[in-house]
Parts: sequence; structure tokens; C-alpha cells
Amino acid sequence: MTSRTWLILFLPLVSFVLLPFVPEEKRKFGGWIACASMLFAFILTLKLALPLFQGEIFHIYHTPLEWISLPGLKLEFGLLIDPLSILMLLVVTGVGSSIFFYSLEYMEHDPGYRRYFAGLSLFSFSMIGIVISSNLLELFIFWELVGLSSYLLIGHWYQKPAAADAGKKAFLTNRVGDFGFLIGILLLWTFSSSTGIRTLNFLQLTATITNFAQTSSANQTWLTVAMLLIFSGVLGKSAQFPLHVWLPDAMEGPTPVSALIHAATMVAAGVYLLARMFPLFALSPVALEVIAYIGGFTAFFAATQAIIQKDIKRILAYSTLSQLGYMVMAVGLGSAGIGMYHLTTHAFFKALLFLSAGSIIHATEEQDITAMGGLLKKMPLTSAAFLIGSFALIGFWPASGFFSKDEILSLAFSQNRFLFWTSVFTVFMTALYMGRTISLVFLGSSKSRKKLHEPTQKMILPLALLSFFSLAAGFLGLQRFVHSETLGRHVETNSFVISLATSLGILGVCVAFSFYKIREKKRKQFSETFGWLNEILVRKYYMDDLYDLILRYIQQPLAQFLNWFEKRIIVEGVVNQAAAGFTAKAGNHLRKLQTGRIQTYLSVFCAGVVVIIYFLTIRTLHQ
Amino acid sequence: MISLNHYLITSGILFAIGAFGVLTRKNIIMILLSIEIMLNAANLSFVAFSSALGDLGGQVISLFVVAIAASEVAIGLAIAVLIFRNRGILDPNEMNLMKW
Amino acid sequence: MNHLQIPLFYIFALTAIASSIVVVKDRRPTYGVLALAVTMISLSGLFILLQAYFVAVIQILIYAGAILVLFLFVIMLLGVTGADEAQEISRKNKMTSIAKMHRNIKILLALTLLSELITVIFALQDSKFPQENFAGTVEAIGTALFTNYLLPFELVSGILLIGIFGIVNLAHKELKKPL
Repeated sequence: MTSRTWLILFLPLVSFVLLPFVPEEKRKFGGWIACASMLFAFILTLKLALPLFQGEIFHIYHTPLEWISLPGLKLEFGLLIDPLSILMLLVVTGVGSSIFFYSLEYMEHDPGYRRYFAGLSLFSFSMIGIVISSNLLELFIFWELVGLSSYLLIGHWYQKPAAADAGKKAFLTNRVGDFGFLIGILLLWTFSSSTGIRTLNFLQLTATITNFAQTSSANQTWLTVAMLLIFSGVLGKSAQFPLHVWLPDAMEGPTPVSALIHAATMVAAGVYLLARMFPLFALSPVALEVIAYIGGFTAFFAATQAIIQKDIKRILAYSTLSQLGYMVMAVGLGSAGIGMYHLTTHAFFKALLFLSAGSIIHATEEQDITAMGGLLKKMPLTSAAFLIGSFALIGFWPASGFFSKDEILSLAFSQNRFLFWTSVFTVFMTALYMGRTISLVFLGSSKSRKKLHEPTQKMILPLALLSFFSLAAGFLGLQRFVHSETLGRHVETNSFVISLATSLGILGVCVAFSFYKIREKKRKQFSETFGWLNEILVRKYYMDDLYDLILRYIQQPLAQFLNWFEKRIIVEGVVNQAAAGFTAKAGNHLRKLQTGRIQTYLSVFCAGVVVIIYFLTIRTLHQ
Repeated sequence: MISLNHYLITSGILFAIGAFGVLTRKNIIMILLSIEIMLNAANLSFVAFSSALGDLGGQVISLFVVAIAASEVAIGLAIAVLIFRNRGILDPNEMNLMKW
Repeated sequence: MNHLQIPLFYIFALTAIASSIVVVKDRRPTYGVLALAVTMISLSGLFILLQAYFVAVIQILIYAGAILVLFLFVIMLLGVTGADEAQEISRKNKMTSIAKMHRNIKILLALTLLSELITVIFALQDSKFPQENFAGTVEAIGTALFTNYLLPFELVSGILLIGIFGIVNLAHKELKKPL
């Protein structure tokens, strides 16, 4: 069974390695190789998950490779499969396969076809790696790999400056988060020595760190610090405030990439990390509180910005930010299980939304929603898909989003009223911006002059599949996977919460629809009165400007100073003048000892003999 | 009573004088001469020990020292002669081709 | 013989030391050689006091008789007078201070050496000389030489042979015309 599991990991890697060797004429073949690898991985995952569906809980733990094994330092490379990882695997391979399939058509005419699929395969390999890692260091390695793949894929059309810049921004922002993450890992490593063995293994980590934290209150504080640092990795990868700035820009990449990486899987890796390390987070209530507030804030913050976006992909990007905020908040409020559940349902409907957006973009060659309209009539299938996705996103019954979102809201209701009310308002805003999008894109009259047509089979099939899951996932009993002791508390759904959320959802959509039915003039008046608000939102609360200032006035001078320091003082001073110069001058003086005269040499010789005789005889005599 | 120490001290004094001569003289041939003094001091030491310990080995070695001193002096003088023929000078301070 | 030992020892020892100082101090090579001869003869006397008769005679015959004569030959051959040494000292008067310092250092060095040797000597157990059955007579030395010390004996003859080869090779003059 374990070898099959390893196969899940390595199939995409094989695809990645093979793709560069596919010749230009046979490029479609390369696409099929990639698809096949993901499909097989998915099938293997299903086989792996079968017992779980039948009610058995199990986990596999297999460490074939001990990378470094010294006293006090033990790093291994291994496999850990439990219900949590199986759930993630299902999401990654399942949604991944659909998206690979979709890309066959979407990227058909792209000159970088093979490079694209190689990048997607590398990404799949890394993501699966994160999910099956047995220890924190291995996870970190794959974490970085995922960041790399994201960079490569965002910058797929690298000739476009905006895309190249977006890739850089994503990678660098991620790096900032990862820096904190690494320090957190090192701290945990240090703390784990309390029981004698130093380990980063997930199975052993809980016990050792609990032991550590309970020994003293100072240790408790240190643990909080370490966990917050690990959370900074989540900030980067899952785009929480303040490291959220890269996600909207990441929309420069191809749409399937946005669907896979920036909606369903990579950004979810942060939430997975939180779930995986939840027992440790649970040891530090302070850390959990910080996490909850950051999550809740991000959800609210991003939703406000989604309302005024014009690019359909950017709306979806801010929506993703918002939903990720919900997931993180859920973890912070004490239930990683609920967060993971929302992650799963979100993967389905967000991927669906992105893929249908892709279909729209493919057909209209346009991304600006103000230039679209009336697509409901022209592209019924795509519209249906998008509508189902929105339905799930806003959280209407019976879509899957209803169940997961209501669990989150119920959790907030029982834990933290303030966050509850902010989340509720965010639900309203979610409905608002999705309603706006639907209104502008699908309703009204068509502004596009092109002949619009539905995409072909290869693109429709994934849409259909994802629509099905978006509707049905609430009934598949996936909760079972995530409702375990280690993943936090369980909540009863509250009817007050449900009715509040649903009514706000309906209210939001209605407000949005009616707004766009009002005449143009009144709309313009409205825009002018709230112009200042609009400006703040469009400028992303001036966050990009803030970062620019920080970089320009703090980071750059610091970097230049360090550069100067290294050049002048270290290289020239220490190495050149001190070490080398000293040696040269010493040599210069010392060589004058070689006078060439016998009597000089003999004198020195005689002096040496005197010293030797002293040390050999007279010293021992006097002792 | 004359004891071993007397002879050894004499030997030591002669050795030191010879060493001083080697380090100080400005003529190669005189340096060689000073080396002879040192060798003689060593000889005296050997013979004194031989007498004190009742072992003839010291005296035998002393004979060998004489023989070797002979050949060493001969070669040393040959070299001195050569240098004098080539350079016309016998000052060791001038023979500094091995200078840095 | 005993009651003469002490004065004889002192006479020979002091003569040896005095003449070796002359060797080292006097500028003229010929005088140096002669002083060295005096040293060697005194040492020979000391050897006789130590009952090393054969060595004493060899000392005079070979050391004083052959080696010093060789020295004298070479000195005469080269015409070394020691005048240039004296000239050099007066010529380099301005360097004398450095030369004096060097010379002082060397004296110090020699004295340190001496003091070390004396310290070591005094740390040793003092031995008296055995009087019976011990003499460095010709027979005794000869026996020892041809039995116990045969190998070094042969090797020394080898060294002398090599010495001769070396000297002949080094010092002979090229013939100007073929024989």
C-alpha cells in the first residue's frame, strides 16, 4: 500500500521530467501525458481513500529514507497518511485532474504549451508532497517548491512585463512569510529537545512540545512566539493580511493556473498547515486569537475591495482572499476541522468559478465586466456553471458552500461575537459583489460584438463535474474526514445563524441587481458622492504604495549599506589589508633574516641549541 | 682531588671559546681553526668519560673524531682555496650568494 | 703520581684555555695555528693524566703534526697575513657600533652556552677515576678497535678515501697543455 502512495507523489514528477523531451510537433501528446499522470494519481487516491468512506479510520506512516542521522540531529524523509491528508489529496488530485483536462483545450494555441504542463506537473508534485509529508522540514521543502511553481506559472507569459512582475511579487511576498516560517521551525526544533530527542516529525512533535510548554510559563510564551512565526508562513502562502498583496496580481497568469493554484490548492496549503499543526496551536490561546482576528479581518478587508473591481478574475481573486480569511478564522476560533471543510467546498466552487470565467474570457476575449453583458442568453452552459458557483459561494442551500460557511458562522457565534458580526457583514458583501458580477456579465444586453460560442467538450466536462461537486459535496459526508479530536471543536448549527446568513445573502443579491437597474445618471451621482471611498478601495487601501515606500526608503538603503560594508570593510579591509597585507609585510621583514652569511646562520643555530638545552635539561633540573 | 667535573668543565670552556671563535672571526681559515678547538673539547670530554666509566669506547671514538676532523679540515681548506682563487677574498661576510 | 695530578691538571688545563683564547683573539693566522698547537699539546698532557696514552700520542702525531701543518701550508699558499682583517675593522669604523653589538651578542651566547653546560655538569653524579686495570694502552685500544669497533673503523677509512677524492676533484688545476 505504501508503494502505491509513493506513486501518487511521483507520477506528476515523472510527467514534469518527461515533458521537456516532447517534440514541438507532438506537443498535444505532452498534454495528455500530464493529464494521464494526474488522473492515475487521482484513481490511486480514491483507492487509498476507500476504507475511509467505509468508516474505518487509519493512518500510514512510512519512512524509507533517513537523510541525516547524527546524535542530536535526525532528519528523515517519509510519508504520513491520515484522514486529513487523504482529504487534501482528493482535492488536489481530483480538482487538479479536472483542471489539467480543461487546460488541454484552453491552452491549445499557446506557444508555451509544454512549458505550461511541465509547470503544472511540478506544482502537483510539490503540492502532493506538502500533503503527505511526515515532518516539518520535508513539508518546508515542498512548501518552497510550491512557491517556485507558482512563480513559474504566474509568469508563464513572461514577455508581458505585468506578468513577470506579478510572478516576482508573489515569490518575494511568499519569501517574507517563509522567513518567519523557517525561524518558527528552528524554534520548534530547539524546543522539541525537551524529551531528549530532537524531532520535527508530526507524530512525535505534539508530545514533545506539550511537554515543553508545560514546564514553565516562559516556555509558554516562547511557544506562542514560535507558533506565530509558523503562522507567518501561512500569511504568505494563504495570502492573509498583510502579505495578501500578491494574490490579485497573480491573476496575470493563465486562468486554469488561477483556478488550480490560487483558488483550490496552493493557497489552501496554509490552511492545511494550520490543521496539521493544530494540536500545537491549541497549546497557545494567544496565537489562536491572533490567527482568528487576522483571518476575520482579511475576510472583511478583501470583500470590501472586491466590490469595486472591474476585472472578473480580480473579483474572484479578492473573493478567494476573503474565503481564505474565513478558513483561517475558523482555525483561530478553535476548529481546524471546520476550516478544512470550508477549504474542500471552496476548492470545488472556486475552481468552478474560475474555469467558467476562463470560458467567458476565451469566448469574449475580454476580462472587463463592464464590457460584457447578456451572456446568459448567449452562453447558457457557462452561465449555469458560473451561477452554480456563485450560489455556493454566497452560501445558499443546498450548495456545499452553505454547509461549510454556516458551520463557520455558528462557530464564530459561539466563540467571538465581534468576529461573528464582521463575518456576517462579509457575507452580505460577498452577496453584493457576486450579485454585481452576475448583473453586469450575464444580465442586460450584450456589449460584445463577437460571435460568442460555448467552449468545447474538453472544457465543458470539467465545468460539469465541478458543478456537480459544488452542489453535492455537502451531502457526501466529507465531514467525517475532518471531525476528529485533534482537529478542534465541533459545533451544532444554529438556526438563527442560518436564517441570518441566508437572508443577508438574498438581500445582497437584490441590492446589487437593483443598483444596476437604476438609471445611469443616478448611478453616476452615487459614484461621485462616494468617490473618496472608491478611491481608497481602488488603490487597495494604499497598501501597494506603502510597500513601495518601505522598499524604497528602508530596504534599499539598508541593502546598499550592507553592500558597501561588505565591499569596503570586509573584503578590502579584513581580507585584503589585514590578512593579505599583513602576510606580505611580515614576509618582507622576515626575509631579511636570510642574510646569506654563514655566521648569521650559525649564531641563530647556536641560540637554538641554547634554548633546546635549556628545555631539555635545565628545566627538568629546576622542577 | 681531580674529579670528572674538572675535566668536563675544562671541556665546556674550550667548547664555548671555540664557538665564540666560529661566530666572530672574519677569516674562513680562522673559522676552521675554531672548529678544531671545538672538536678538541669534545675529544677531551669523551676521553674523560671513558676514563671515569672504565669503558674504552670513549677513546676509540676519540680516534675516529680525529680521523674525521682530518678529512673535514682538508675538504674545508680545499674549498677555501677555491674561493680564494675565484674571488680573492676570505671574508665570510662577503660570501652571501644565498642572500634573500 | 697522585700528588702531582692536581698541579699538572691545572697547568695543562689553564694552558689549553689560554692558548685557545689566543687562537680566537689574535688576528694573525700563523700565530693562531701555533697557539692551537700549544692547545693540542696541553690537551695531550691531559689525556696522559687520564691514562689514555694512545690517544694522547695520536693527538700530537696526527692532530698537531699533520692537520695543523696542513693549515700552515694553506695559509702560506694563500699568503694570508691577517692584515686585511685588521684593515677591514678600521675601514668600517662607522659600522663598529653595530659590529660591537653583534660581537656582544655572540659573547653572551657563548657564555650562556657555557653556563648551561656547567649547570648540567654539576647536576651529574660525580665520578672518581678507577685506577686499577684500566689503561688506554696500545694493545687495549688495538684490541677494542679490531673487535668491537671494527665496522666504524672500516667506515672511517671509507670516509678518508672519499675525502681524498673530493679534494682532488675540487682543488686541482686544469692542465694548460696536454701531457
